[in-house]
Amino acid sequence: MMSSVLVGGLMGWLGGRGIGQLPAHVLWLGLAGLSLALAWREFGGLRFPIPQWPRQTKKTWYHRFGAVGAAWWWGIDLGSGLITRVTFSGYWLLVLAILFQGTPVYGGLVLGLYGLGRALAVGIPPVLLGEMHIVNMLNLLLDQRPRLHRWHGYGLVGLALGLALRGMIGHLSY
Amino acid sequence: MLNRFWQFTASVGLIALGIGLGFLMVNPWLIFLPWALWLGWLQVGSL
Repeated sequence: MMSSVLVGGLMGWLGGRGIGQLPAHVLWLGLAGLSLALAWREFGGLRFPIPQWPRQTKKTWYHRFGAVGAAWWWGIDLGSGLITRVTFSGYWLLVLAILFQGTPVYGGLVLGLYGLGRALAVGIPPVLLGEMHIVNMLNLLLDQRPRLHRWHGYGLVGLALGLALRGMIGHLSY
Repeated sequence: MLNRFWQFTASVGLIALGIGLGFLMVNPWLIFLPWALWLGWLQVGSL
């Protein structure tokens, strides 16, 4: 989560210096369109690559640093979302929102919450799934990935509708 | 076991959706806050 906050803050800072302002309705409708395209991709209707660094975090860190040390390194490595595979494309909507909003506080908050969600995804499943070996639990969760991706798609559709509505209301009120 | 997992996932998603839609009319940037938390949670099991 700490790396998420730091990288989000840096993105916000960079966005504030590098990206100009767009008219609000163009911005919201553009992000809505992108969200819808990503949802369509998630449901298999569209095929296009998304930017990502093709690497996974190092599983061997567990043997090198022990459980606590590896947890720190995995958190730092995965937290930013930038230097590992992007398995859920909605991540790029967060990045674009941070860049266009353009403040470090907002960037840190958005990616910090993303990091918190990822941390909860490590801490809560053992409570929900009961006592089981970590390998069995990971395999069980991996089997759920198609359904998690569908939920991601529904979320993208919801986000697209919300942003499009806001964009249209904003445009009509000018 | 999986029922509890999916009930939790659905609850988090619906709460995030509700908060997001509530935020939308106040300040649209805020919609990305619950979305970020939800997206992080969906990556459960990913390394």
